[in-house]
Amino acid sequence: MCTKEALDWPYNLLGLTEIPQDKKPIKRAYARRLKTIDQLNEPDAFQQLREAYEAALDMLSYKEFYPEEHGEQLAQGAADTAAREHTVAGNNCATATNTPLNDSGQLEAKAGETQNTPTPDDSSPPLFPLVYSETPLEELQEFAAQFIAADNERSDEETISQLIHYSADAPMQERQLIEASMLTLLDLLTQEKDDSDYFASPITPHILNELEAEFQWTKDAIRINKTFPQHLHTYQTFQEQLEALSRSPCTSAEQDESLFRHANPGKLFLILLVVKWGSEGLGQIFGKYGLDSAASFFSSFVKPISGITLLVLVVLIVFDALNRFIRKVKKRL
Amino acid sequence: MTHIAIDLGTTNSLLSYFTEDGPKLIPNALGEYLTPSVISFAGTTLHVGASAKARLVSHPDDTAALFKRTMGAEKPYSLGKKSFTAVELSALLLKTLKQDAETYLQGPITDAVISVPAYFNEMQRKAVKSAAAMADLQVARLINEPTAAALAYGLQDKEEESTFLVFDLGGGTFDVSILEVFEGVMEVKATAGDAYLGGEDFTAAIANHLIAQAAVSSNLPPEQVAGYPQLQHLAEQAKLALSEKHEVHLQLDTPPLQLDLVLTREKLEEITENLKRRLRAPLDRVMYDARLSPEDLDRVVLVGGATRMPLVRSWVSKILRKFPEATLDPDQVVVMGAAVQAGLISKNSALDDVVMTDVSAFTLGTEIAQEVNGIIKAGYFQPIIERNSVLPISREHIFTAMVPGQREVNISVYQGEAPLIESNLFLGEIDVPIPYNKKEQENIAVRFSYDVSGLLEVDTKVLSTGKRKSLLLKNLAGELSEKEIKTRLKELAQYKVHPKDQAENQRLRAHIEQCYTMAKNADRDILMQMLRDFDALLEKQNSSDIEAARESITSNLAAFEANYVH
Repeated sequence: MCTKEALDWPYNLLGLTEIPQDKKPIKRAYARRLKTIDQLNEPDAFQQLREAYEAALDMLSYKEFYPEEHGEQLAQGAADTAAREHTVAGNNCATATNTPLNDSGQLEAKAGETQNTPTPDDSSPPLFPLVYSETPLEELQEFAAQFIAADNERSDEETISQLIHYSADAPMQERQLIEASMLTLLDLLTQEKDDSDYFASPITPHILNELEAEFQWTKDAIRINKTFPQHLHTYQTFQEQLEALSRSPCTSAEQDESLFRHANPGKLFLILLVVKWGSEGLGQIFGKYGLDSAASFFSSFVKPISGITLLVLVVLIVFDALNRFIRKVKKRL
Repeated sequence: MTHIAIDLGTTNSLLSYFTEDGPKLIPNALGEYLTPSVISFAGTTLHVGASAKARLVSHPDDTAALFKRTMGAEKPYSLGKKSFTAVELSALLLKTLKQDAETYLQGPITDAVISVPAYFNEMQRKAVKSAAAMADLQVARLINEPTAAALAYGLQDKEEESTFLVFDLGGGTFDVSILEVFEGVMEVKATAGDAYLGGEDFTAAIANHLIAQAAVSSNLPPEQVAGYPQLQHLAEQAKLALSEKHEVHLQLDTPPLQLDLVLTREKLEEITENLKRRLRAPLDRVMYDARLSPEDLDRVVLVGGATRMPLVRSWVSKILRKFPEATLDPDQVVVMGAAVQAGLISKNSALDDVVMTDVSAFTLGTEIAQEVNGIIKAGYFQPIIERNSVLPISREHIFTAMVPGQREVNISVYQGEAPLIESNLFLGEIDVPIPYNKKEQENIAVRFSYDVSGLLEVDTKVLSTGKRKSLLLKNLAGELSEKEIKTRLKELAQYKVHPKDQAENQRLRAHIEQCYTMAKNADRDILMQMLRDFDALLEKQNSSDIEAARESITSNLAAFEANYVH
C-alpha cells in the first residue's frame, strides 16, 4: 500500500493527474482539497495534505534552483526525501530515519537525547545564496566603499558600531549583508585561549552588546542555526561571551593581539564583505567547503580589487585556513 | 445564534458580527465603535470605556488602564479599596461589551471570537480565555490580530493572488505577519512580533520627556512631577496631534505644575528612537521565516492605531521600499476580520469558498541535556514544533535516556526561541517511567500535537515497550480552575455599568472632571459651575433641557481643550 502510494506522492494526494510545470495547478489543487477538510476535527488529513503541498512546491523550486541538467535528478532526490518524511510523519509504514541535520552542528545533542527526524524545511533550497545572488557584487563593494569613504578617521570599533547602527534603518538586503558580515567578522576574529574561544580586538564588550541589541541573536537560535549553519561555532562563542559579560561586565572579551590591528580603519570592511561574498555565498552553492569555493571564485572578481587588497585577502584566507587547521588538530589531540 | 467578534485592545476595544453583507461593527451604549479599555470605580458604580478614560485624569487612583499588558501575570491593580487582576478587569470590560452587543442585536450572546496579538504566548492566551469565562462568554476561537486584519483585507479580492505583509502596531503590542492569498485560501506564512511594544510606549516616551521638562519649569523633583496624571494625558494628546501636524504647542498651568513647550515631529523621532529600533528585529524575522525578500511583497498593510504616526509610516516605507496602505480603518480592521472568522466558524454561506490557515508564532520544545566540552549539562532547549509551522501540526522526536538503567524521563514543555530553556516559557511537564535496562539507554518518542484552537497535546511512547503516556496542556501554572472562575463570575456580577440612557451623561460628567484637573485655577471655577449646573439638570430629568446642555457643554469643553494642546 505504502510503496504504491509513494510512487505518485505527492501529486496523487493533491488530486493532480499530471506533473505540474508551475505553481498554479499545485495551488489550485491544494485549495480545492483544503476546502473539504475540517482543520479542527481532521488534523491528520490536514497535515498530510499540507506535506504533499509543500513537497510539490519544493520539487518545483528545486528545478528552478538547480541547473537544467541536474534538475530532474535533484527533484527526484527531493521527492524521495520528502516521501520518506511523509511516511514518518504520517506514522504509516516506516521506521524513523535518523539523519543528522548538519555535520557542523555542535548544537545537536550529543550524549543526551536526540536523533532528529528530518523536517520538510531542511530539504528546501538554502535561503541565503538566493538572497545573495540577487545582490550584484558591484553594489556590495560600492556600499562598503561609500561607508568607508564617509569617514576615514574612525577606529575599527567605531566603524563596526556605526555600521550596526546604520543597519537599523537600512533596506532589507543591506541589513542582511551587514548581519552576515558581522558573523563572518566574529568568525575571523575568534581566538582560542585556555581551551575556550573569545573574540579578539576590535570586538569589545560594547560591540557584543550592540550586536545583541540590534540583531537579537541569542533570542532566536532557530533563525541563526538555519540561516548561518556555517557560523554555529561562532554563534556559540557569541552566546558564551555575552553570558560571561552579564556575569562580570569588565573581565571578558579581552583585547588581544589582533590580525587587523595595523589595518587602516575601515579597510577591514571592504575585505570582510568581499570575503563574505566569496566564501559564504558561493560556498553554499558549490558545497560546504568554504575555502575551496572561495579560492575557485577568487579569479572571477580579482579585476575590481586593487593589488594590495588582494594580497591582504590572500594572507587573510591562508591565515584563516591555518587557524582552522590548527584548531582542528588541537581538538583531535 | 450569532457569534460576535471582539477586539480586546490595550487602548480600545471593538465589537462586530458577520452578516450576509460581510462584517459589521456594533456600536457601544454611546453609539461609538471604540470603547476605551479602561475601568474605573466611583464607589460601587462601575465605569467602563469613555467615562472611565476621562476619570483616568481626574481619579487616577480609582481607575485602571492598559491592563492587557499584564495579562497572564499576577500583577494586582488596586481601584479604590478593591484589588483586581488584569483577567478580572478584562472580564468586566468583556461583560460590558457583551451587554452592548446584546442591546444592539436584541438577543442573548453566548459565543465570541476574540482577537489576541499573534505574539501572545500560551499563558497570555489562557488569561484571555479565563476573562471571557468570567464574563460568561464562550470563546469560539482566539484569532491572531494580524491574521484577522488580513482576513478583512483578503476578503476584498479573494480570488486575486497576492502576498502581503501586515504591520500591526497596536496600543500595547506589535505583530507583523506575511500572508498569501490564492484561490480563496488565506494562508499565514509567518508571524513575528513583540508583545510589549505599542503606541502606549510612544506615549510614555513623550510623557517622560514632558516630565523632565515640567520638572525644570515647575522647579520640582521629577519623581514628584511623574505622579501627576495631567502629563500622561497631555502626552497622549500631543502624540495624536503630531500625527496631524508638524508641531504642537503644549501648555499646562495647574499649580504647582507649569509647562509651556513646543514639541515637533523631529523631537518625537528623537525621543522614540529606541522604540523604533525594536520594530526592526520582528520585521527581519518574519521575512526570513517566510523566505521572502521585499520585492516579493505585493502589498504592505498598516493595522493598529499607532500606525497613524507619520514616523512609523515613513519608516515602514523606507525599509520595505513600498508605500504602505491603510484603506481600511486601522482601528477597525482587526475586529472586522475577527467577524469574518466568526462567520467561518458558524459556516456562513457567504464564506463557503474561503478558507484560512494560520501558524504557531512560537517554537514549542523540551529540555535536553547535552555534552559540552566533556561535561553533561542540562538546560538546553530542543525545538519540536518550530515556529511558523502551519496549524494543525503534529511532530515527533526521539529522545534517549541519559544513562543505562535510568528509571524515569522528565519531558518538560517550553515555548520560545532561546537556545536555553531558562529564557523560554515553561508550560508544563510529564514524567515518563521507563523499564529498567542495565545494558543500554532506552529511547522515548515524544510527539507534540498543536491544533487550530491552540490546544497542545504531548504524547510519549517508550519504544521498547510501546507504552504511551499523554499530557494535555490545559492546566497551566497560574490558570484558574472552573470553580474559581464561577466564584469570580458571581463576584463580578455585583458591579453593574450604567444603563444606556445614562451612559452619555456619565461620560460628559467625567469629561468635565477631566478638564477640571487639566485646568488653570481661574478656569476651574467655571468648570466646577458647569458640573453643578449639569447635575442640577440631571436631577430634574427634563430630557430636552439635558440634550441642549450636553451640546453646549461639549462645545465648551472642546474649546477649552484646544487651549492646552494647539
